[in-house]
Amino acid sequence: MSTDQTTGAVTVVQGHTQVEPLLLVRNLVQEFVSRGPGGVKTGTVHAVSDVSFELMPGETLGIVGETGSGKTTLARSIIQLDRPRSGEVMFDDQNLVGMSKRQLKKIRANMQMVYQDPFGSLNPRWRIEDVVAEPLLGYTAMNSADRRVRVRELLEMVGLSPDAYLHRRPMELSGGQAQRVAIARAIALNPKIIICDEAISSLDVLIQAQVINLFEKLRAELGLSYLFIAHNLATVKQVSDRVAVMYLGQLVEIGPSEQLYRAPLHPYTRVLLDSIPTLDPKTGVAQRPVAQEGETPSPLDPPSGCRFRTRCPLAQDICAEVKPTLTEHQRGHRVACHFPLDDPDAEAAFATPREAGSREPLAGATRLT
Amino acid sequence: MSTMTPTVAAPDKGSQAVLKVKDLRVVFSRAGAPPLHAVNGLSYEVRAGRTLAIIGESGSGKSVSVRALMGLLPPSANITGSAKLFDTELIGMNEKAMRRIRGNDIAMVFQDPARSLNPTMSVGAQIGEAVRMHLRIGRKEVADRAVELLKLVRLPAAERRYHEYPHQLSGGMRQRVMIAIALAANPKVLIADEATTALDVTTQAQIMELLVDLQDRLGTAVVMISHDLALAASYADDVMVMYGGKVVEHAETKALFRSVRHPYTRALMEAIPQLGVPSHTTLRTISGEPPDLSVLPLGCAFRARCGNASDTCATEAPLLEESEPGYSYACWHPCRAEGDTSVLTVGASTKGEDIL
Repeated sequence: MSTDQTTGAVTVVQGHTQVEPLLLVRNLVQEFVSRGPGGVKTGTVHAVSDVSFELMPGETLGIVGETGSGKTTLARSIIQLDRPRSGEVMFDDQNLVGMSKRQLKKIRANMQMVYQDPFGSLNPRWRIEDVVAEPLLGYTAMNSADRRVRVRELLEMVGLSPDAYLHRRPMELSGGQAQRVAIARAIALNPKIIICDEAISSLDVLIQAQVINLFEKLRAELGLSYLFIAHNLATVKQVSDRVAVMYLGQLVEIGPSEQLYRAPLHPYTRVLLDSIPTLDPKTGVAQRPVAQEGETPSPLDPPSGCRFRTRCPLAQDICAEVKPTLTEHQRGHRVACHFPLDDPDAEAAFATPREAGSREPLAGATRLT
Repeated sequence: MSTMTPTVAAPDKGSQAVLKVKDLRVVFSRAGAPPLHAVNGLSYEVRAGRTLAIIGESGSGKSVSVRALMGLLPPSANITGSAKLFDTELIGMNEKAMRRIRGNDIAMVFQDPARSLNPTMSVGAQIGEAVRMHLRIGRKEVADRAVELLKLVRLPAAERRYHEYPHQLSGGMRQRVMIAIALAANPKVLIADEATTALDVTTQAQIMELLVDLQDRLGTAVVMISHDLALAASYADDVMVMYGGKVVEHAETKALFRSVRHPYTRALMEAIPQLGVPSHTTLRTISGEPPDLSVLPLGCAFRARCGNASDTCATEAPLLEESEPGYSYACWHPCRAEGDTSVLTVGASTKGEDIL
């Protein structure tokens, strides 16, 4: 993978011969001190605990998990917005953890973020032209004429006609348009990685589909790698080559998306998948989800051993005593569980989704795929 | 399990129209700007024990239409039409009378339970307040009834939670408390406005299951407002799709999703990412943005984004008409009943945006 920074054009030849990961996260730990009245330390929030994974060039890695699972903290720790407690984040053979601010600034040109709320991340007083031109001003030696050309080019890439939008301000845009502007700004410096933190979650279905298609188009054109964080499992499946599932700060399962969704190995992944109501657009048949009892425990005091054991239908004594490690079960598919679901006996512990309208579980209902 | 006795005996599904809305219109007057036509002629009925889902994008008028019924809109809203709860007309009712209806006969659960609850009052006090408003009973009974309601919504350790404050509860627990407050007076109609949107999927499944169970036991009519088609398809008996403040399609849930006729509903369905489809499959979507409600289009509001649109669509607005009993849609050029997707092959482009 080579990036020609001088002309601003990315020349990427994406092949499967490439084996070096673009980003390598090793044993990343992020903890925050929780303070009570008077600033007295009352506990430690275990936000991200010992997370390791790699992101390959041109790959989209989806990260799913519920509120409080540490997805956003993980993203922030990777780009060093919050300095991690320990661990390594390797990018371009350099460890970002412990790097000076000056060095980090250089690295961040290659690593951009797109956030959930586009209005919150665009300065309301600036014109769209200035918003998109800002990274060029800070990181390149372009003169104003070159910048103007580049901004027009960027807006066209994200599907906004430059003449109509250059002089508008963020408040004059709809949510979908504002998110496109945020994306244009993120790709302005030809980054290698874009971290999308719930980037499409607040958009309406039709607009969401447009923006997803835009992300896919840019990936193909610019050879981008995405770290795609979202709570919606179907959206993540849509864009991801591989998916990582987080629970209470830990990575519980990671694998190729097709495989992970078709045959999840971790009971938590299975619970998540069973909780989604589905509607088949071809047949119009809806499937009512299965409700699993239980609440996510507090990250202030996570359960011993496997953190999911308090809600897991398969939990045994060992789950409280020994913390399961992430081990490979199938090629590229790793799971941290003492009783992964490739055992057919595990199936009996789960109820099956029902077709909408029926009050009783369907006999022989098929698994959610 | 619970000693709670509903004031009306739970009737059979589909027996009685509890809420009848007819030609409801809401126009917001704005200083220095043209008026905003948020709801443009909405009619529907909800029966006891049944769930109606109102679906649409932001700005389709789904929330405004139910807030209008409850008298929750600002004075700038000009509401016309009729909405009857049994025989009582709600539109134009004075605030004092409305206060007796609100919470008593019609209750509402909102999207964000953290903002709907008072952070300085304990959970028990807030439920107690709702109970006292509607029932004239002593302090001890109020407390008993509050705990009973917390148990009814299956809040774990109800007696302990009674004394806790909203910040000590999780999002799902707070939403359970909101439902308990809404149920304090055994409402005939429960309006759930994106009640599970802010929750995690596992919690959403729990809350929906709870609502279904309570509805079965209490015979409440539920109006659920959602942008999530799959959620509506899974839980509602009837579905109504709104676009630009109008109903474009309205039918019994299974019939509607089996043979979607309106191009907009079809577009919504096609645009949802599917678990069963391989990754990186391009999503079928339509270009453009929802209509500007300050200028009411002459014809069909959807025509600029519709692949089936013709000259007729530009001049005459299609009426919501029944194609068969219980199934109505408003379109000049509907999709064929079975699996027709022709609408999406031609993408009308607006505002210089292309399908990407």
